[in-house]
Amino acid sequence: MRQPPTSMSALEKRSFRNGLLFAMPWIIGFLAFSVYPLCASFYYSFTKFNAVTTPEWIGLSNYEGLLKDPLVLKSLGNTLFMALVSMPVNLCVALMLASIVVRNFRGRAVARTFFFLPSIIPMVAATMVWIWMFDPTYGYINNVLRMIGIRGPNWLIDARYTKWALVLMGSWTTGTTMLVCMAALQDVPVSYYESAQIDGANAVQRFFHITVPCIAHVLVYQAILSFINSFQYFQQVYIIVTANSGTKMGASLGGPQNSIMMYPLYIFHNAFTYLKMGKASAMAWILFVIVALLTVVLTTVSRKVNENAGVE
Amino acid sequence: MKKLVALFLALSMLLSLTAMAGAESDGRVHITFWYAHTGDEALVFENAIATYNASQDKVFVEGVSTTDTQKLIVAMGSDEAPDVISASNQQMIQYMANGLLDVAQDYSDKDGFDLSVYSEKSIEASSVGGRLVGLPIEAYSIQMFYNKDLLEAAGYSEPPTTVEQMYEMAVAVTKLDENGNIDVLGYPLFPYASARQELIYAFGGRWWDEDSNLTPQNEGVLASLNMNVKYRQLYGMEAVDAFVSTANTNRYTEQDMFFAGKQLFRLDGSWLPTMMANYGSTVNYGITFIPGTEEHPEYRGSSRYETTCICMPSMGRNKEAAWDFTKWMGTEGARIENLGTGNLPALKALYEDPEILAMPGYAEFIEALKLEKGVQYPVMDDFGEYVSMINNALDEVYAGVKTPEQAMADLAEQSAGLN
Repeated sequence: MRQPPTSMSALEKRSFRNGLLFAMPWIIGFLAFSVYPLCASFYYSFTKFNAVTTPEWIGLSNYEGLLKDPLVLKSLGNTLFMALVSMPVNLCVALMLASIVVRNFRGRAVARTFFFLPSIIPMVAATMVWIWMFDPTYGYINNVLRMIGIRGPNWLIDARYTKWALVLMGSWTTGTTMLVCMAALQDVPVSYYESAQIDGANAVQRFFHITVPCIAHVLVYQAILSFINSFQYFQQVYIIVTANSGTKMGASLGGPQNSIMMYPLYIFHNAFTYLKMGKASAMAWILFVIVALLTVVLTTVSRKVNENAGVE
Repeated sequence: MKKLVALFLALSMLLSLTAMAGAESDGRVHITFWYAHTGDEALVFENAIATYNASQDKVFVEGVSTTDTQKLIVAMGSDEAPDVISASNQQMIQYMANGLLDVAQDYSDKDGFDLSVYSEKSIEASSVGGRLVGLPIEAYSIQMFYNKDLLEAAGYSEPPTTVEQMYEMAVAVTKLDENGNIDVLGYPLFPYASARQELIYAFGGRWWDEDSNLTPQNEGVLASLNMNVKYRQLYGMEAVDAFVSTANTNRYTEQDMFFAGKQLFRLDGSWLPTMMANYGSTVNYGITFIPGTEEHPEYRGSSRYETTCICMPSMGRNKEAAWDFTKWMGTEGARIENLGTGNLPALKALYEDPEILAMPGYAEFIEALKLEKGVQYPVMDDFGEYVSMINNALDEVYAGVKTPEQAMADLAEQSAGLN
C-alpha cells in the first residue's frame, strides 16, 4: 500500500497555492458571509444587543427568556404544523400532477407548463393575489363554495382557518416537486406495469404496489427538503400580516391570535421590530439545533429507504 | 494586451477619483437625509430638500426615500448612518430607548431656537423624558367621518355626540343582504387601528396612563369592548368579520367601503377627503369629533396624536450641518411638507394658514387639534411587545374566545413583566 507523502514537492506546493488562490474568492465569501455571522450571532445570543450600540454580556438570560415567552412555543407549534401538514399535502398534489403530465396525451406540454407556472411567479405577487382570492365576500374561493351551497370561512381573519389558507396557498406552487416526481416516474420500468396488468392488477394496485415503492426514495428526499424548508417559512406570512396590519396598532404581527406567527417571522420581529438582536440570535440558534437534529434523523431515514430501494 | 488592461484600470481609477472629488468640490458640507415617505409624498420631500439646497451655500442635502426600517437600523449600526432621518414618534421613542438619537433640545437650547412655535401636544409627542428629541413636522389625528345620506335615511339629522347615540344610529343603519352578509356596516369597527384606539378612547379607556403604567383593565376599555361585542353578537361575529376583512383588503382603494357608501361611521385621518376626491367618490359625508359618553361628554374629540419628527442619529457625522437642516425642515420645510402631503401641521402658525385651511377636511381636523385631547404613546422599552399583546387579546375578544373581562385580565398578567 502506498504511503501518503510526508512533505509536498515544489510542484505540489505550487499547485496547492494556485488551487488555494482560485478558491480564495469563495473562501473569503464563506468566511465573511457564513462563518463570521454564525460566530457573531452565537456571541450576540449571550448579550443584550440592539444591532447598533455595543453588546452587553448577559449570559444565558436570552435563552432563559425564551422559555418564559409563550409566543416562542406558539410560533414553533405553528411552524411544525406547516411542516407536518403542508409537506404531505404538497407532495400528494405534486405526485398527482406528475402522474397526469407523465402520460401521453394531446396538450401535455401545455399542461406541464400550466402546472409549473405558479412556481416561477414571484412570491410577493402571488401572495397578494391569494389575499384577494381569500376575501370572504368577493374572493373566488368563497364564491365557488357559495355556488355549491357552502358558506366559506373568513380565511385570513379567523384563527381556525389561517393556517389552512397557507396550506392551500402552498399546494399551488408544487411545480418543482412535480418535475422531480415526473422524472422519477419516467424511470419506473414499463415492464413492471405490463406484468402486473397480465396478473390482473388494477390501476390503484399498480400505483401502490409498483409506482410508490419504485419512487419512494425520491419522495422521501423531497419530503426531507420540504420539511426542512418549512422551518424557514417567512415570506408569505410576512406579506399577509403586513398587508393586514397597516399600522403597529392595526393587527397582530402574527395574524389573528398569532395563529400564523411562524418561528422565523418571530425572529425577524424580535430583531428588527423590537430591536432585540440578542434574543433573536438565541432563537436562531435554537432553530439551528432543531433543524440540525431533524436533518440527522431524516437523512438516516432516507438512507434506510434508499438501501431498501437498492439506490446508492 | 496587458498594457491595454493596465491602461483601462488606471483610467477607471482616475475617473472614480474625479467623481469622488466632484461630490465635495462645491465647498459645501454634504449630508444625507433619510425619510420614510414614498411615491408622490417622496416628491414633496425632494421639493423641500431642493428648496433648502437653493436657499444657502454651506450645506448640501441628499435625500433618500426608504420605508425599510431594517435598512435604517443596519445603516445606523455601520459607518453609513444618515445625518438626519424622519421617524414617527413611536419609532423615535424606540430609537431613543436604544440610544440611537441625539436630543434635538440640546441643539435648540444652544442655538436659541424657539420651540414655542410648536403645539403643546406635538412637543409632548416628540419628547422623551421631558426633552424634545426631534422637531415635529407633521401631526396625525383621527376624527369621525359619517355618511350623511345613510344617517338621514334612518331619520337622523345630526351626527352623534355620544357613543350611546352612535350605537343606536349604527343599529338603525346596519343592513344585511339576503344571505345574512352585512351590506352596510353601522358601527365603526374598521379600520382596525381606529377600533383598537379611538373607539377605546371615546369611552375614556386607556391602554396606558400618563406615567406609562399599563392599564388594560381600565373601565373605559371594558365598556368599549362590551359595546363592540354586543354589536358583533347582534349581527353574528362571522358576518362582521367578513365585512371587516373585505373592507381591509379594499382599504384606500376605489372600492373602499366608506367611499362606496357601505360604511356609516369611519374613524379615520385628515387624508381621507383627498383620497375620496381622487377616487371620484360621490358619498355625501361630514366630519365631526369622535363622540364621548353620556356620562363623560368631555371625552369627545379624543384621539391618538402622532407626529413625524426630524431627528439626528447619534452616530451621524456632520452635526452642525445636520442641525441647520433639521431646524429648517422643522419650520419652513414643514409647511411645504404639510401642503404637499396633506398631513396636519405641528406648527401653531399653520393652524391659521389660509392655504392649509383651504384643504378639504382641514378646518374640522384643526379644530380637533385645538382641543389638545391627543393621546400619547407611552415611553417604554417593550412598547412593541405590549402592542402585540393588546392585538392578540383583542383578537380573542372579537372572535368570542374570551370575554372582554377575561381577555383584559390575562393581558394585565402577561404584560406585568414588560419594561
